[in-house]
Amino acid sequence: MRLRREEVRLLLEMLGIIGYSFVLYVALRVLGEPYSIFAYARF
Amino acid sequence: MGPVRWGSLLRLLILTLLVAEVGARVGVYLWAGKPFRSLDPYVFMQDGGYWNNPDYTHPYFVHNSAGFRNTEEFAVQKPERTLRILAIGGSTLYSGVSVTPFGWPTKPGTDKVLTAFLRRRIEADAAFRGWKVEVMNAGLNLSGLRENAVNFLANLSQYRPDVLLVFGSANHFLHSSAVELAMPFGSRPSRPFGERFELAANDRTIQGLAERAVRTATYYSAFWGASYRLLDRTFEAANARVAAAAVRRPRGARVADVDLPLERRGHVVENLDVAYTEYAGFLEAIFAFCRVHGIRPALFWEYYLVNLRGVKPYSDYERALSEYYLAHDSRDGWANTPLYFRMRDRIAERARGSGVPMVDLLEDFRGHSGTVFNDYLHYSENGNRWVAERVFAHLRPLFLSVATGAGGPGATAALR
Repeated sequence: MRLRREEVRLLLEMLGIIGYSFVLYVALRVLGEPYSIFAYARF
Repeated sequence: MGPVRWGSLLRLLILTLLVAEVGARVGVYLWAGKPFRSLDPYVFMQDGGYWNNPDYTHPYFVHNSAGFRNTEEFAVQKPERTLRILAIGGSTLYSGVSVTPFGWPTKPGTDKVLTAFLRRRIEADAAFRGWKVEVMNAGLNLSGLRENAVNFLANLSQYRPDVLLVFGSANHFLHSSAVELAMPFGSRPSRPFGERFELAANDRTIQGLAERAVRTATYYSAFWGASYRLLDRTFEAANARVAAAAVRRPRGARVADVDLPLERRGHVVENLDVAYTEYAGFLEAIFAFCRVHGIRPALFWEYYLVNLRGVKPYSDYERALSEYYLAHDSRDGWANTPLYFRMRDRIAERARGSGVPMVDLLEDFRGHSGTVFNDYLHYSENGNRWVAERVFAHLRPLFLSVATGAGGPGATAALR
């Protein structure tokens, strides 16, 4: 199946919306926490 | 130009995500040496606390099927002729690592932590011949005695250990728990990951729904799990840097050196008395439980690397680390506060009154020049081995009292 240019754009937009929402959600949640004491410890 | 073929687009979208998932699973396999199960280190408990995720996939931080930092499994019902030791505490016990000015130290694997060495040391002792030895590691990163006591009383006690080792003094007094304990007494208590727990369990808003969707996706999918982990840590580091940049820091200290805003640290140090009343209360609850159930408790005091300046002959690595921390920190090394030692002395006195031994390795450190510390607090693999050896030397009589059937310390002590 060959996608037309418009369909490729739509596919990329859908992927972008999913990725962008995910990044935004994680960012807002982490940055919404009052302070971080875990940042430099790795478990 | 015809209409958009939405069905094909949707199939292609799913295919793209599937390819990403397969790629992420291959990546996790190459990194961890085992198939992906989950990249979330923790799960929430019914009691409101958190616990090690049994499904955590990591090359070094391996948990057994019950979430202990052990490679071996434990039956809830203790087998015959078994010496069962349960250790509760924070990351010193778990053997987590923190970044140092010289980079990331080597992470000790689950068979290289002090409980694993302690088990092998007891097994090598002829006095325990014919006994099965189990040393259960319930180390939980970031936890203090509040988390450990609740988890022990509510959950872990079902394993009916013969001996209970209580670690975690560093977290309780100067780290994660202390941050919250330092708030005025009587204020609403919070726990590590408390806000995330509320979002996932009790929040009925859109954000609560989003949180559950994200948690589900990141738990079952390697692609979303890895992406989440990467993003979460990136943003968390950024958040900490912004928070640290906003407060005054000692001359020469980089923002990255300040993992806890200094104002907050001062607050913690000045409120250690509050932390002590919390600690003493939970400790007495543990002692009472142990007395009723015939469990022998023992305490372990955790020293910070900087506490041992002038005491332990440092290795080159330890000296460099210690000098760095002392030079770049406020208050000449915040963990060096005399109040921390006063806490130790008060707890030791309380333990003595209850006939409970407390392992204090200060004198042991005087004669040991090998590297024990991986960073400001946690032990290296060799450090874990050495500490296990010293714990064994201090507590052998207690362990023997189980094998001989004699009433051990704590088993007979009166409740004060």
